[in-house]
Amino acid sequence: MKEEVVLIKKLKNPKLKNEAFRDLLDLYQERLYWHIRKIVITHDNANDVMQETFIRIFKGINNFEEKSSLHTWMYRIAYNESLRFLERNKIKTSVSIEQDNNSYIKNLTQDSFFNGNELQLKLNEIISNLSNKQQRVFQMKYFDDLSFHEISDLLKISENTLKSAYYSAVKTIEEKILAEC
Amino acid sequence: MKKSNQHKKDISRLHKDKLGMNIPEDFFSKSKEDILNKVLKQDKPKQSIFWLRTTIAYPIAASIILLFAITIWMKNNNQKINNQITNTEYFNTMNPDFFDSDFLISSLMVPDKDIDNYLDYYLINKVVIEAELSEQQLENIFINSLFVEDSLVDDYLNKNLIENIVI
Repeated sequence: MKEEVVLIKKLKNPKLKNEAFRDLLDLYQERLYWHIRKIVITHDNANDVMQETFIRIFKGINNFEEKSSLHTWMYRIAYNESLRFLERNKIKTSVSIEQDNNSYIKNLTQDSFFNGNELQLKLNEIISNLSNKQQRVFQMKYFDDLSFHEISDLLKISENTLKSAYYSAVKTIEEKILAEC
Repeated sequence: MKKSNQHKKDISRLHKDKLGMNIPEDFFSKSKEDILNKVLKQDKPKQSIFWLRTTIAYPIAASIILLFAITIWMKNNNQKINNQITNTEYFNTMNPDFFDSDFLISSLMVPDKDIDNYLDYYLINKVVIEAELSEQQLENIFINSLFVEDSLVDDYLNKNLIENIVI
Protein backbone atom coordinates (compact mmCIF):
# COMPACT_ATOMS: atom_id res chain seq x y z
CA MET A 1 0.00 0.00 0.00
CA LYS A 2 2.84 2.33 0.91
CA GLU A 3 4.61 1.41 -2.34
CA GLU A 4 1.46 2.26 -4.28
CA VAL A 5 1.25 5.70 -2.64
CA VAL A 6 4.86 6.40 -3.58
CA LEU A 7 4.23 5.22 -7.14
CA ILE A 8 1.17 7.48 -7.49
CA LYS A 9 3.19 10.48 -6.25
CA LYS A 10 5.90 9.75 -8.80
CA LEU A 11 3.34 9.29 -11.57
CA LYS A 12 1.84 12.69 -10.77
CA ASN A 13 5.23 14.35 -10.75
CA PRO A 14 6.08 15.44 -14.33
CA LYS A 15 9.80 14.94 -13.75
CA LEU A 16 9.42 11.39 -12.44
CA LYS A 17 6.38 10.36 -14.49
CA ASN A 18 8.17 8.47 -17.27
CA GLU A 19 10.33 6.45 -14.92
CA ALA A 20 7.36 5.71 -12.67
CA PHE A 21 5.35 4.60 -15.67
CA ARG A 22 8.02 2.00 -16.50
CA ASP A 23 7.64 0.62 -12.97
CA LEU A 24 3.87 0.64 -13.39
CA LEU A 25 4.17 -1.41 -16.57
CA ASP A 26 6.47 -3.89 -14.84
CA LEU A 27 3.97 -4.35 -12.06
CA TYR A 28 0.65 -4.42 -13.89
CA GLN A 29 1.12 -5.03 -17.61
CA GLU A 30 0.78 -8.79 -17.46
CA ARG A 31 -2.10 -8.82 -15.03
CA LEU A 32 -4.07 -6.32 -17.07
CA TYR A 33 -3.28 -8.21 -20.26
CA TRP A 34 -4.86 -11.42 -18.93
CA HIS A 35 -7.80 -9.53 -17.53
CA ILE A 36 -8.41 -8.06 -20.99
CA ARG A 37 -7.66 -11.28 -22.86
CA LYS A 38 -10.48 -13.14 -21.12
CA ILE A 39 -12.95 -10.49 -22.24
CA VAL A 40 -11.83 -9.93 -25.84
CA ILE A 41 -10.58 -13.56 -26.23
CA THR A 42 -7.87 -13.30 -28.93
CA HIS A 43 -4.27 -12.29 -28.33
CA ASP A 44 -4.15 -9.60 -31.03
CA ASN A 45 -7.26 -7.90 -29.72
CA ALA A 46 -5.99 -8.14 -26.16
CA ASN A 47 -2.70 -6.55 -27.17
CA ASP A 48 -4.48 -3.64 -28.90
CA VAL A 49 -6.82 -3.05 -25.96
CA MET A 50 -3.97 -3.29 -23.45
CA GLN A 51 -1.97 -0.63 -25.31
CA GLU A 52 -5.00 1.66 -25.41
CA THR A 53 -5.56 1.02 -21.71
CA PHE A 54 -2.04 2.05 -20.72
CA ILE A 55 -2.19 5.14 -22.90
CA ARG A 56 -5.40 6.12 -21.08
CA ILE A 57 -3.77 5.41 -17.73
CA PHE A 58 -0.79 7.59 -18.63
CA LYS A 59 -3.00 10.44 -19.82
CA GLY A 60 -5.47 10.19 -16.96
CA ILE A 61 -3.16 9.66 -14.00
CA ASN A 62 -3.34 13.32 -12.98
CA ASN A 63 -7.13 13.00 -12.75
CA PHE A 64 -6.90 9.93 -10.50
CA GLU A 65 -8.56 11.10 -7.27
CA GLU A 66 -7.30 8.14 -5.17
CA LYS A 67 -10.81 7.26 -3.98
CA SER A 68 -10.02 3.64 -4.86
CA SER A 69 -6.67 1.85 -5.10
CA LEU A 70 -4.51 2.43 -8.17
CA HIS A 71 -4.85 -1.26 -8.87
CA THR A 72 -8.67 -1.10 -8.97
CA TRP A 73 -8.66 2.11 -10.96
CA MET A 74 -6.48 0.54 -13.66
CA TYR A 75 -8.60 -2.61 -13.78
CA ARG A 76 -11.68 -0.44 -14.26
CA ILE A 77 -10.05 1.34 -17.18
CA ALA A 78 -9.02 -2.00 -18.70
CA TYR A 79 -12.51 -3.41 -18.20
CA ASN A 80 -14.21 -0.37 -19.75
CA GLU A 81 -11.74 -0.32 -22.62
CA SER A 82 -12.45 -4.01 -23.30
CA LEU A 83 -16.21 -3.40 -23.32
CA ARG A 84 -15.69 -0.42 -25.63
CA PHE A 85 -13.71 -2.68 -27.95
CA LEU A 86 -16.50 -5.27 -27.96
CA GLU A 87 -19.02 -2.51 -28.64
CA ARG A 88 -17.01 -1.36 -31.66
CA ASN A 89 -16.60 -4.97 -32.76
CA LYS A 90 -20.32 -5.55 -32.37
CA ILE A 91 -21.04 -2.73 -34.82
CA LYS A 92 -18.63 -4.24 -37.34
CA THR A 93 -19.55 -7.90 -36.98
CA SER A 94 -23.04 -7.78 -35.44
CA VAL A 95 -21.94 -9.95 -32.54
CA SER A 96 -23.56 -9.35 -29.16
CA ILE A 97 -21.42 -8.00 -26.31
CA GLU A 98 -22.71 -10.84 -24.21
CA GLN A 99 -21.27 -13.22 -26.70
CA ASP A 100 -23.14 -16.40 -27.27
CA ASN A 101 -21.38 -19.69 -26.72
CA ASN A 102 -20.79 -20.38 -30.42
CA SER A 103 -19.11 -17.07 -31.18
CA TYR A 104 -16.96 -17.31 -28.02
CA ILE A 105 -15.65 -20.77 -28.90
CA LYS A 106 -15.30 -19.81 -32.57
CA ASN A 107 -13.19 -16.76 -31.73
CA LEU A 108 -11.14 -18.75 -29.24
CA THR A 109 -10.32 -21.63 -31.58
CA GLN A 110 -9.51 -19.29 -34.48
CA ASP A 111 -6.88 -17.52 -32.39
CA SER A 112 -3.40 -18.75 -33.31
CA PHE A 113 -2.36 -18.33 -29.65
CA PHE A 114 -4.88 -20.84 -28.35
CA ASN A 115 -3.69 -24.42 -28.24
CA GLY A 116 -5.88 -25.85 -25.52
CA ASN A 117 -6.72 -29.55 -25.22
CA GLU A 118 -10.20 -30.97 -25.02
CA LEU A 119 -10.56 -30.37 -21.30
CA GLN A 120 -9.34 -26.78 -21.57
CA LEU A 121 -11.73 -26.13 -24.43
CA LYS A 122 -14.53 -27.63 -22.34
CA LEU A 123 -13.70 -25.33 -19.41
CA ASN A 124 -13.79 -22.34 -21.75
CA GLU A 125 -17.12 -23.49 -23.08
CA ILE A 126 -18.58 -23.94 -19.59
CA ILE A 127 -17.39 -20.47 -18.52
CA SER A 128 -18.84 -18.91 -21.65
CA ASN A 129 -22.21 -20.52 -20.82
CA LEU A 130 -22.37 -18.81 -17.42
CA SER A 131 -24.35 -15.60 -17.00
CA ASN A 132 -22.43 -12.43 -17.74
CA LYS A 133 -22.16 -11.54 -14.04
CA GLN A 134 -21.01 -15.05 -13.03
CA GLN A 135 -18.44 -15.09 -15.83
CA ARG A 136 -16.88 -11.76 -14.77
CA VAL A 137 -16.83 -12.60 -11.06
CA PHE A 138 -15.37 -16.06 -11.60
CA GLN A 139 -12.65 -14.83 -13.96
CA MET A 140 -11.69 -11.89 -11.74
CA LYS A 141 -11.62 -13.98 -8.58
CA TYR A 142 -10.14 -17.23 -9.85
CA PHE A 143 -7.74 -16.09 -12.61
CA ASP A 144 -6.99 -12.43 -11.77
CA ASP A 145 -6.85 -13.06 -8.03
CA LEU A 146 -8.82 -9.94 -7.15
CA SER A 147 -10.54 -9.69 -3.76
CA PHE A 148 -14.33 -9.46 -3.51
CA HIS A 149 -13.90 -5.91 -2.26
CA GLU A 150 -11.94 -4.95 -5.39
CA ILE A 151 -14.42 -6.70 -7.70
CA SER A 152 -17.28 -4.94 -5.90
CA ASP A 153 -15.55 -1.61 -6.40
CA LEU A 154 -14.92 -2.44 -10.04
CA LEU A 155 -18.35 -3.76 -11.04
CA LYS A 156 -20.37 -1.64 -8.57
CA ILE A 157 -22.10 -4.75 -7.22
CA SER A 158 -22.39 -5.55 -3.51
CA GLU A 159 -19.88 -8.03 -2.11
CA ASN A 160 -22.61 -10.43 -0.94
CA THR A 161 -24.13 -10.57 -4.41
CA LEU A 162 -20.68 -11.19 -5.85
CA LYS A 163 -19.94 -13.97 -3.40
CA SER A 164 -23.21 -15.61 -4.19
CA ALA A 165 -22.57 -15.34 -7.93
CA TYR A 166 -19.03 -16.68 -7.57
CA TYR A 167 -19.94 -19.75 -5.52
CA SER A 168 -22.81 -20.46 -7.82
CA ALA A 169 -20.41 -20.29 -10.81
CA VAL A 170 -17.87 -22.60 -9.12
CA LYS A 171 -20.61 -25.14 -8.35
CA THR A 172 -21.85 -25.08 -11.96
CA ILE A 173 -18.34 -25.55 -13.37
CA GLU A 174 -17.55 -28.44 -10.98
CA GLU A 175 -20.77 -30.21 -11.85
CA LYS A 176 -20.25 -29.88 -15.57
CA ILE A 177 -16.61 -30.96 -15.44
CA LEU A 178 -17.49 -33.98 -13.32
CA ALA A 179 -20.30 -34.83 -15.71
CA GLU A 180 -17.81 -34.82 -18.62
CA CYS A 181 -15.38 -37.07 -16.76
CA MET B 1 9.87 -6.91 -7.72
CA LYS B 2 10.71 -10.58 -7.14
CA LYS B 3 7.23 -11.12 -5.81
CA SER B 4 5.83 -9.38 -8.87
CA ASN B 5 7.84 -11.58 -11.26
CA GLN B 6 6.69 -14.66 -9.37
CA HIS B 7 3.12 -13.45 -9.76
CA LYS B 8 3.69 -12.91 -13.49
CA LYS B 9 4.87 -16.49 -13.94
CA ASP B 10 1.93 -17.77 -11.95
CA ILE B 11 -0.73 -15.82 -13.79
CA SER B 12 0.59 -16.69 -17.25
CA ARG B 13 0.98 -20.35 -16.30
CA LEU B 14 -2.50 -20.43 -14.79
CA HIS B 15 -4.06 -19.15 -18.03
CA LYS B 16 -2.00 -21.55 -20.12
CA ASP B 17 -2.72 -24.57 -17.92
CA LYS B 18 -6.39 -23.99 -17.30
CA LEU B 19 -7.58 -22.18 -20.42
CA GLY B 20 -5.00 -23.12 -23.08
CA MET B 21 -4.24 -19.46 -23.85
CA ASN B 22 -0.69 -18.64 -24.96
CA ILE B 23 1.29 -15.54 -25.75
CA PRO B 24 4.23 -14.95 -28.13
CA GLU B 25 7.69 -15.37 -26.70
CA ASP B 26 9.06 -12.30 -24.96
CA PHE B 27 5.74 -10.62 -25.60
CA PHE B 28 5.58 -8.45 -22.49
CA SER B 29 9.02 -6.88 -22.86
CA LYS B 30 8.31 -6.02 -26.51
CA SER B 31 4.85 -4.76 -25.69
CA LYS B 32 6.27 -2.63 -22.87
CA GLU B 33 8.61 -0.90 -25.32
CA ASP B 34 5.73 -0.34 -27.77
CA ILE B 35 3.58 1.23 -25.07
CA LEU B 36 6.43 3.43 -23.83
CA ASN B 37 7.21 4.61 -27.35
CA LYS B 38 3.56 5.48 -27.99
CA VAL B 39 3.09 7.17 -24.66
CA LEU B 40 6.31 9.18 -24.78
CA LYS B 41 5.63 10.19 -28.38
CA GLN B 42 2.22 11.56 -27.38
CA ASP B 43 3.64 13.17 -24.26
CA LYS B 44 6.28 15.18 -26.16
CA PRO B 45 5.38 18.86 -26.16
CA LYS B 46 4.52 19.93 -29.66
CA GLN B 47 7.33 22.03 -31.09
CA SER B 48 5.76 25.14 -32.39
CA ILE B 49 7.29 26.78 -35.44
CA PHE B 50 9.11 29.98 -34.49
CA TRP B 51 7.11 32.15 -36.89
CA LEU B 52 3.79 30.68 -35.77
CA ARG B 53 4.25 31.49 -32.09
CA THR B 54 1.53 33.90 -31.08
CA THR B 55 3.90 36.13 -29.12
CA ILE B 56 5.87 36.71 -32.33
CA ALA B 57 3.20 36.31 -34.98
CA TYR B 58 0.87 39.05 -33.67
CA PRO B 59 3.47 41.85 -33.51
CA ILE B 60 4.74 40.87 -36.98
CA ALA B 61 1.20 40.95 -38.39
CA ALA B 62 0.56 44.32 -36.75
CA SER B 63 3.81 45.72 -38.18
CA ILE B 64 2.95 44.53 -41.69
CA ILE B 65 -0.51 46.10 -41.48
CA LEU B 66 0.99 49.35 -40.17
CA LEU B 67 3.58 49.45 -42.99
CA PHE B 68 0.87 48.74 -45.53
CA ALA B 69 -1.35 51.50 -44.14
CA ILE B 70 1.55 54.00 -44.12
CA THR B 71 2.42 53.10 -47.72
CA ILE B 72 -1.15 53.68 -48.89
CA TRP B 73 -1.44 56.91 -46.90
CA MET B 74 1.83 58.27 -48.32
CA LYS B 75 0.80 57.32 -51.83
CA ASN B 76 -2.51 59.19 -51.50
CA ASN B 77 -0.81 62.19 -49.91
CA ASN B 78 1.74 62.42 -52.76
CA GLN B 79 -1.07 62.29 -55.31
CA LYS B 80 -2.77 65.29 -53.64
CA ILE B 81 0.48 67.30 -53.67
CA ASN B 82 1.05 66.39 -57.31
CA ASN B 83 -2.48 67.44 -58.17
CA GLN B 84 -1.96 70.79 -56.45
CA ILE B 85 1.29 71.40 -58.35
CA THR B 86 -0.37 70.41 -61.58
CA ASN B 87 -3.23 72.83 -61.04
CA THR B 88 -0.84 75.66 -60.16
CA GLU B 89 1.31 74.89 -63.13
CA TYR B 90 -1.77 74.69 -65.24
CA PHE B 91 -2.84 78.19 -64.30
CA ASN B 92 0.67 79.57 -64.46
CA THR B 93 1.44 78.13 -67.83
CA MET B 94 -1.89 79.02 -69.37
CA ASN B 95 -1.05 80.29 -72.88
CA PRO B 96 -2.59 79.97 -76.34
CA ASP B 97 -0.11 77.42 -77.49
CA PHE B 98 -0.91 75.21 -74.54
CA PHE B 99 -4.61 75.53 -75.20
CA ASP B 100 -4.16 74.99 -78.91
CA SER B 101 -2.09 71.91 -78.50
CA ASP B 102 -4.43 70.65 -75.84
CA PHE B 103 -7.45 71.45 -77.93
CA LEU B 104 -5.94 69.82 -80.98
CA ILE B 105 -5.04 66.70 -79.12
CA SER B 106 -8.54 66.57 -77.61
CA SER B 107 -10.18 67.23 -80.93
CA LEU B 108 -8.43 64.26 -82.42
CA MET B 109 -10.27 62.11 -79.95
CA VAL B 110 -13.71 63.52 -80.90
CA PRO B 111 -15.57 61.85 -83.78
CA ASP B 112 -16.08 63.88 -86.95
CA LYS B 113 -19.82 63.52 -86.72
CA ASP B 114 -19.89 65.24 -83.34
CA ILE B 115 -17.73 68.07 -84.62
CA ASP B 116 -20.10 68.52 -87.57
CA ASN B 117 -23.11 68.58 -85.28
CA TYR B 118 -21.42 71.06 -83.01
CA LEU B 119 -20.43 73.30 -85.86
CA ASP B 120 -23.92 73.17 -87.38
CA TYR B 121 -25.45 74.10 -84.08
CA TYR B 122 -22.88 76.79 -83.42
CA LEU B 123 -23.13 78.35 -86.87
CA ILE B 124 -26.92 78.35 -86.93
CA ASN B 125 -27.05 80.04 -83.57
CA LYS B 126 -24.46 82.55 -84.53
CA VAL B 127 -26.18 83.37 -87.86
CA VAL B 128 -29.60 83.64 -86.27
CA ILE B 129 -28.39 85.81 -83.42
CA GLU B 130 -26.38 88.04 -85.71
CA ALA B 131 -29.29 88.32 -88.08
CA GLU B 132 -31.60 89.25 -85.25
CA LEU B 133 -29.14 91.76 -83.92
CA SER B 134 -28.60 93.37 -87.28
CA GLU B 135 -32.35 93.55 -87.86
CA GLN B 136 -32.83 95.23 -84.54
CA GLN B 137 -30.03 97.64 -85.27
CA LEU B 138 -31.65 98.59 -88.58
CA GLU B 139 -34.92 99.14 -86.87
CA ASN B 140 -33.29 101.33 -84.27
CA ILE B 141 -31.49 103.33 -86.93
CA PHE B 142 -34.69 103.75 -88.84
CA ILE B 143 -36.63 104.75 -85.77
CA ASN B 144 -33.87 107.10 -84.70
CA SER B 145 -33.70 108.57 -88.14
CA LEU B 146 -37.39 109.07 -88.06
CA PHE B 147 -37.14 110.81 -84.74
CA VAL B 148 -34.21 112.86 -85.94
CA GLU B 149 -35.89 113.69 -89.13
CA ASP B 150 -39.11 114.58 -87.39
CA SER B 151 -37.34 116.83 -84.96
CA LEU B 152 -35.34 118.37 -87.77
CA VAL B 153 -38.49 118.86 -89.75
CA ASP B 154 -40.14 120.33 -86.72
CA ASP B 155 -37.20 122.52 -86.02
CA TYR B 156 -37.06 123.50 -89.60
CA LEU B 157 -40.75 124.19 -89.80
CA ASN B 158 -40.76 126.11 -86.56
CA LYS B 159 -37.81 128.13 -87.64
CA ASN B 160 -39.20 128.82 -91.05
CA LEU B 161 -42.60 129.55 -89.63
CA ILE B 162 -41.22 132.00 -87.11
CA GLU B 163 -39.08 133.58 -89.77
CA ASN B 164 -42.01 133.81 -92.08
CA ILE B 165 -44.17 135.24 -89.40
CA VAL B 166 -41.47 137.62 -88.32
CA ILE B 167 -40.71 138.57 -91.84
